[in-house]
Amino acid sequence: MVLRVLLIFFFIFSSHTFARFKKSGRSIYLKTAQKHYKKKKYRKSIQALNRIYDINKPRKLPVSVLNLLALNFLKLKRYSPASKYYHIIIARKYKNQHRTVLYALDSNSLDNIEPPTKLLRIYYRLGQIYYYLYSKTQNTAYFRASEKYFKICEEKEHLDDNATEYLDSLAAKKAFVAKKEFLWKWFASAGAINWQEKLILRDTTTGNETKLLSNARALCLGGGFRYENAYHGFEVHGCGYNGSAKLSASNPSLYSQDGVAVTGFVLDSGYTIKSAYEKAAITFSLPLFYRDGQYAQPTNYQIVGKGQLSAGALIKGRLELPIVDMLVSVGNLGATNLFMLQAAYTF
Amino acid sequence: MPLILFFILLVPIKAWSYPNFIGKGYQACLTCHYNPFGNGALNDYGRAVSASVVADRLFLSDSTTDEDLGKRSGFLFNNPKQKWFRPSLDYRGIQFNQDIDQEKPNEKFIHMQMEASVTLKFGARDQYIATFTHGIVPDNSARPLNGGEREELQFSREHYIGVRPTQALGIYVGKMDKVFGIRVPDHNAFSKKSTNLNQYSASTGVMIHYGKESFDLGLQNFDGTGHTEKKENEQTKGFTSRFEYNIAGNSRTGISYLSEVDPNENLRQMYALHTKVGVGNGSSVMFEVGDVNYTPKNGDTKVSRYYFLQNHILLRRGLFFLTTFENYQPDLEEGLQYYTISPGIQYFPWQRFEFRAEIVNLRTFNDDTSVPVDQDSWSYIGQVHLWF
Repeated sequence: MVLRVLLIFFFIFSSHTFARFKKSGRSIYLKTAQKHYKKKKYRKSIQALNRIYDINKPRKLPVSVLNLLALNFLKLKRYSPASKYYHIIIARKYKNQHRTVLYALDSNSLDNIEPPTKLLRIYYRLGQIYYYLYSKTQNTAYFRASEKYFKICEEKEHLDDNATEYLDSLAAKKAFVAKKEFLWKWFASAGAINWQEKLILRDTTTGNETKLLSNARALCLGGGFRYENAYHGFEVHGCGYNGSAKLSASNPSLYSQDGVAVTGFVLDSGYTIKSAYEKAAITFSLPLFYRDGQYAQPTNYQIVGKGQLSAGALIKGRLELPIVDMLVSVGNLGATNLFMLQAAYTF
Repeated sequence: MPLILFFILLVPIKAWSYPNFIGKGYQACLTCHYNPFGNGALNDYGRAVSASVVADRLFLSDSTTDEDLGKRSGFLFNNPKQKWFRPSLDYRGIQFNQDIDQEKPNEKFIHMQMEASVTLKFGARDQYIATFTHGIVPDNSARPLNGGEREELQFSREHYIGVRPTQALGIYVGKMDKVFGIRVPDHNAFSKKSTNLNQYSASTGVMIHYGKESFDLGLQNFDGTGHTEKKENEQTKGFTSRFEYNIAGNSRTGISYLSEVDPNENLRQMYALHTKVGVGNGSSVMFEVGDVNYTPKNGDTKVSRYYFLQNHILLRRGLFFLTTFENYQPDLEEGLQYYTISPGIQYFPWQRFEFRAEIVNLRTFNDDTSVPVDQDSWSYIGQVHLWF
């Protein structure tokens, strides 16, 4: 009996002693880890904690350890684990307060609550973590998260100057990212087109050729698309036209005709450079220009070049006015000089 | 060749205000010029703006701030110590190559502007000003007057005194440019050529300016009789007016009316509608349409019409891509029309220096089938402008 009692005492005493020993050992390691952290030896700090805790099972770790781990990982720019540890802390220790804060943020009533300072510290760190993650990935979910935590800090005046700076920086980054994003834009266009071209009047019996000049004006309707960001992009634009032309030889008594119906199309695609000062752009493009004129052909004469396709170079200025864009283009397509004045509506 | 004559006549035309700076939010000319309708000497603010906002920073280190540039924008790179005396010098030269697509282009260099100005200003608000501008045109750049030879011309480009009893109201007396339409620095614009508002059009008279943030009104009577730099038919007297209003956003829309008679009692009446719109942060579009009714003594009235459209696209600080589109009908009852389109660049690499180069394509439409189709004319116009 006595032996049994002694044995029980031994077990009780030894387990208590072992537990105390283990606890004091953990405390030593935690202090060591804290010292490493203060000396900016973040890896060593994590290693020190890993010797006594299983950091891969964070849900079993004390809050103080989680906090130190999160700080170390944050300093090491390993934002995902840092974020994970902070969220475990919140879930374990500040679950209700966190819900209250988020609800107050959504309902614009942050003034009515007083979150714990330690929770605000975590929010500030999370704001930083998501700020860096957004900078790295440009993922808008991180942007929203960072903005949310810094807004709380700003409202509750916890490091609010810094939080405001982060918020400004976030807005700038977001604007920058938005500017870099390529978007498809479709537009319809309408306007005037005006060109000069050379044709030939050939005598089909003798083969003699006489040079003709034609000036034409038309209305051109069409549209196109742009794939661009705030700096540059590509544009494809086409329009079909219907108008009239006058053409003549240098001696009009040889040949002269006015009011000739002309139809055709212009298709141009090119590279757009956008103004750094917004809402304006120039495009260098390669146009294809087809025209077909109903020119009268005297008996035994043929007009060469009635319907022809030309290619060349075109430069286009675009200004984004409040409702429509204004396009002014000038181009040279071999013997054809072309200019266009158009309005475009972007959908 | 009528086209050649036409272009030669176009050349010596001026106006050196920059209404396209509405793109930077400068809607009123008085912000930068002593003259409330632009042109002429820049005031201190205008000089500082040209140095610190308009001009590029080519060859300038980052340590030179825009504020430093603004302080150095005075006459001969000084920051004026006194408040009342403001001298300035201006030079503008133009290289004009006509028919550049031909084997032998017609080339000409013109000293378009050689001027020295002095402005005196007094009062707490600079409400009293007096401006004198002396201009020289060398004989090779002068135009022959009344059938004579080209001779060096020295004349008063402008001289006037101005009083602004209130911030909004100004009264100016002396020789000034006529208030009409948009004052653009385009030497070949139909809006300048057909209206006779050229570099010699400044006339003696009285101008009243009334302007607030959203509008400017100008009324001016003038008399150019006896001005030796003018041709006889340019020595006109009459009345002109312009009203400009900010209808929406960064824009100004205006109307103008001018009526004048020359010594031979030929009457010219002109109407114009214009608008200037700032786009983005520096780009702009300007549009003007005008009718010119010319009635010779005992003759029938001839109506001509012009359209002027110009856009400035600010590519980087100081550098614009610009396109000018024009249409001109010398007589609305006839089927003759001119079209021009002029792509080009305008660059202010540093303060006090402007370079501008344009290619001008001129096309003629004539309904008359007895007249042949004219071949397009391509010209190059390059200009440098220095001011101190």
